[in-house]
Amino acid sequence: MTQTNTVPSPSQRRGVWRGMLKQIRRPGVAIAVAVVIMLVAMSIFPGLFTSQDPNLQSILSRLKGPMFEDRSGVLHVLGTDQLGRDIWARIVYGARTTLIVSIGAVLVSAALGIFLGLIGGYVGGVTDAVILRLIDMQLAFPVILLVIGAVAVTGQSLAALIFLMGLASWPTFARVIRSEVLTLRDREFVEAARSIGATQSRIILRHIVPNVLSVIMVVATFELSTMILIEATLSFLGVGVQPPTPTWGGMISEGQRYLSQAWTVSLFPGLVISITILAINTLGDELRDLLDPRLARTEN
Amino acid sequence: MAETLLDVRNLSTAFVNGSKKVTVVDDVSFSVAPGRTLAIVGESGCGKSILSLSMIRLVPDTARTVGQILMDGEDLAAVSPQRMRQIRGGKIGMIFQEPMTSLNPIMTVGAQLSEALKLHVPELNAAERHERAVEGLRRVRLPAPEAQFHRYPHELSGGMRQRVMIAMALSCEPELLIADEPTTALDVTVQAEILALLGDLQRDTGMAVILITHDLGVVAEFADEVMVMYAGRIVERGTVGEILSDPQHPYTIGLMGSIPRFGSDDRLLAIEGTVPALSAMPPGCRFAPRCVFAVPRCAGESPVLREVTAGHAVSCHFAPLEDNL
Amino acid sequence: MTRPLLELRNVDKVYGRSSGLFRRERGGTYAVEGVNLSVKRGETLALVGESGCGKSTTARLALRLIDTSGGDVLFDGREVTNESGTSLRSLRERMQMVFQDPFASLDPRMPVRKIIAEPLEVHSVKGDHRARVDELMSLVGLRADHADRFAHEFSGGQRQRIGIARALALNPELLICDEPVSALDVSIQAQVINLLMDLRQRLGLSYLFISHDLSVVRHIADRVAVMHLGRVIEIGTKQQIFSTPMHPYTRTLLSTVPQPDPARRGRAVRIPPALNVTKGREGCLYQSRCPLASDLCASERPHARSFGDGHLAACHHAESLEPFTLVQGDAVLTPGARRRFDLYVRKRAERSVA
Repeated sequence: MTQTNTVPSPSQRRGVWRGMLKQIRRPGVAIAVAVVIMLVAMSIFPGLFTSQDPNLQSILSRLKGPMFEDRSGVLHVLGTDQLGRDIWARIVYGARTTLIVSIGAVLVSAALGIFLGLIGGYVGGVTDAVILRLIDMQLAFPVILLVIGAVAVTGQSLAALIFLMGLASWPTFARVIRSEVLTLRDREFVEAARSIGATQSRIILRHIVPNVLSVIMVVATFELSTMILIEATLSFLGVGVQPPTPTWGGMISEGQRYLSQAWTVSLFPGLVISITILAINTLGDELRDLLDPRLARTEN
Repeated sequence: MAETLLDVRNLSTAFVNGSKKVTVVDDVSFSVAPGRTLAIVGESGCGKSILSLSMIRLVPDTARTVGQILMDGEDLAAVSPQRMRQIRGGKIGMIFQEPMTSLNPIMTVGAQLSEALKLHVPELNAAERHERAVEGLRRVRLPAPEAQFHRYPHELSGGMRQRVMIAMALSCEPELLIADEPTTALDVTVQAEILALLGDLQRDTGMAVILITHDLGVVAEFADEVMVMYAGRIVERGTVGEILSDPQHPYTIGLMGSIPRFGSDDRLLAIEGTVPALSAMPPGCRFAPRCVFAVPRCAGESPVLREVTAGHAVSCHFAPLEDNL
Repeated sequence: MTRPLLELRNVDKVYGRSSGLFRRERGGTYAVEGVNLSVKRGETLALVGESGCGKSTTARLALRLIDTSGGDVLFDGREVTNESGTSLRSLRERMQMVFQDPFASLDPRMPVRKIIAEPLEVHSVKGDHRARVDELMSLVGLRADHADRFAHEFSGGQRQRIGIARALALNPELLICDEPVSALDVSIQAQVINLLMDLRQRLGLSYLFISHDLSVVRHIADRVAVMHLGRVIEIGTKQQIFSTPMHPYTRTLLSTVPQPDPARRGRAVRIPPALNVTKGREGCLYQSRCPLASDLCASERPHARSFGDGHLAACHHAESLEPFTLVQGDAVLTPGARRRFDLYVRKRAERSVA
């Protein structure tokens, strides 16, 4: 029933950045942007956010609550952990490792998953069947177990951890992309591209990929949160990033043993993870909408 | 004819979005008599589907409808939602363009028919419902109705699905059937069958039909009265003979000229331009920007619907055109 | 006689006949069977039939968007069926397709300029693409300054014009139009039909025009081929098909179209629906719907026989058909309405000049 508006002013043509700037005026988006900027700043210049050493231990001031001031007059805003280290400082210094590991792992799994998903969905046939079986096999095998086993073989290094975590979770991308491509492949505009003689790679890159971009965004933000949690689990099991290097997940798992005495030790890193994920998801949604010309807001 | 079944008076439907208000159906009045067929003709964006949904109060929540919809002394615009639910599928049956999307894909045809009966004729027991459902399928001339009863919608052809939809709409013996483009998605051979079936059923039951279509061929085949709509307003109204042999409004003339094979010219007499966007309706006569007869007055002053002969009403300042231009 | 621009010889398309690891014997569903067609230069051949009759499949076989299961497709004498890679692409430069659904056939993520320029890019055409797009847009009646918009910002008719502009970008000789107007409103439909007819004249195009709408076909076609369940059952000039149809199915199709004339109400002929024939394709596939069906029809497949100058029909009983008069036409106009129409035509002409 809705007749398409055929007379939009030509000046309001897209520009993702302009759109983004406009969206920032909305409070939710503004907060999300601020959070992400702060996280990035934290990972690059942790010294700006805290003057304390994240690894400085003090047996005397173990497991203290927020706003604890120790004997030397230093204020521990979020309290201290089981070794008397400042929780805020550890959160700040943990940002870098946590983000590098989780973003890195998402990139690895995205690269692999998108590639296989595109191929499987577009080519179909035997290739698709093989990829599907691979996905099933991977899914049937617990991610954590896989990484533990692999880490035992490769030894612990940040690069290996990133790579293995990524390798272990590509099926999420592959599955979603594949099913999306399956429906796109039969759409008339893809057939139209074939009818003008476009090559397969051109069709995939110019027509399929831009149309699955929004799905990729959604899966990626979702996966980012999963990765932060997996990293936490791995740290808890002792195969993640090795102490004393702080990571948020590691902090939660270390604090878990002291929940009854000092619940804040786990609470604050947990809160930070939640805020981060919320911010990233908000931005992901926003970006997806901006990338879709059909959803581009037409009012000025 | 004094007898009327449905009397719609000054019905308007507008979509409200924040401060913006978009009027989709603008001050429409008409009536339908029992046993008669009123065709509402127009192109997409003319408001014909929203008009039919407004009559049975199935418009989206963002829409506001004002006006009266009188049926058997009841104002459907004012009755309670519970009562409206009884009327829908009870006194008023509906069929839509694409039967596949109107049928539940995971329920058998029989189960869906029985469900409709359960809602509207609760006194029936299971065996009676089954019997009536099969009878309904037989009535729409579905081959082997007992067997079809247990089949799923996807197992039926488009024409058979539309028959099932008709059986469902008629299961509670409605007094009014609203058919929204019932044959548009079907092949011409099937379309002829469905129209003939609807005609026979109408004769048997004496129900009134509101037929929404864009196809003047279907109108000629089936309608008694015709209402031509453009951009939310009635532009012309009359009997089927009056509209097709004596079209008065420039839009009706344009529509007939657009049908291939009309006129001697090799080129079709297409109406140039497109239907205006709902959010940017021109002032005055809404057809003026596309009208070959338009003069400055048309853009300034909305024409009123007035009768040129008894019963034949046109909304054009200059009707009849040949005398006034 | 010069050779036809497009020729289909005995073309089959069978689905579901597996050729995989576990080869199934025979079977499969015929979408298209033994189709013979040709489109001459400058001619419009219309392909008509009910949904599922194989007319869209035939179009895609001609363009080789799908592969044939048997038979030959020739474009300008060259086998399309054997071509691959670059030579197939060079053939595709010369025949292009206009799709049915103007909403689905344009990439929603591309501005119109890129959509129309894509064939130029794909075939590495030299020269100013920008100017060419502007030229194409004005050729199909679109404003060139709208080129940076996305497809969803246009109405259905305008989108179909975009699709036509894209198809014309490479200066093709043949345009395959798959139901190009059936998704459009009546008044818009007329605009697009006029456009297609103008373009044919200006650019010397040939059309393979697929449609289920016989009124449209009658208006635009030079010759007509009627398909039923994957087979061409009759082919001939427009005159032959519309005035002396020699197949009962063609006659039924012509008589089922409702005419905008209430005086003719109830004249439409009714036939039982088509059965989905997956096996047992012996004999005439129309026999279950045909009033003339005999034992011969059940046992022997009717082959196309000639009924004069290129008029072929595949029916055993074509000779025993009654003389045919086409039920057609519009309601008789009142004298006032006649004057009104003349006035309309005149005013319309004045407007388009101005």
